[in-house]
Amino acid sequence: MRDRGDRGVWSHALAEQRAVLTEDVRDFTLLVREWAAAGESHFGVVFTSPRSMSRRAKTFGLYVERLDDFLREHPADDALADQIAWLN
Amino acid sequence: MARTRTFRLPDELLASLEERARDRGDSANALAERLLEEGLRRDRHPLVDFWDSAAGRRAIVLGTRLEVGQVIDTWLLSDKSVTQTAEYFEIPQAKIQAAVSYYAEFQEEIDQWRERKQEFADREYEAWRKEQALFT
Repeated sequence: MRDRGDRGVWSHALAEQRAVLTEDVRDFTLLVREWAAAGESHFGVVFTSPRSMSRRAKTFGLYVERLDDFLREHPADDALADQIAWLN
Repeated sequence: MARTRTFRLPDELLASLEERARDRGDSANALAERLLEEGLRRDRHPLVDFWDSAAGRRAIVLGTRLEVGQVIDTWLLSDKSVTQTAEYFEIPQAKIQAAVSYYAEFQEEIDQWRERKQEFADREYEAWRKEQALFT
């Protein structure tokens, strides 16, 4: 996915019916709004902030733990359909 | 301040420029100025590229989706360690170093970008938090 632009990632997530987990709040918020304005559905976006949820080696365990808790609370494939959530 | 300078360019190149400008809804002058500016920057920083995101044009690390500002955020959080930042993103140290070099030359621009991005994220988080509170 590294060589894909935001729209490429977004299209891939839609095709695979997956939510997107990202720190890129601005670009993906704009994509979600664009998508909603066109009346299209998506499978959710989960935002994190590098300030509170760093993925650095020292704090990566916390990141995984929070994400695991979140996924256990939202087990259905479509649990995040058309939603934005934050892990903070 | 802008100055006028005349260049002699092949017809095909001008036609291509005008066609591309029309496709993007830009003026040929604006597109030429941007391409020239980015070309000069690429020339000095060959591991930095530019592409369009939903929020506008941005400098990225070549061959990745990583914005230069995002790399700098992590580099600063990693006590300015190029090694740790490279390990974090799982890319060669040379690419982190390239982002730092670009930052050194365009620090004000990158810092403004980082600030705007953070402000946007903070606003969105607050709006989401308020909305969630209505459900509790």
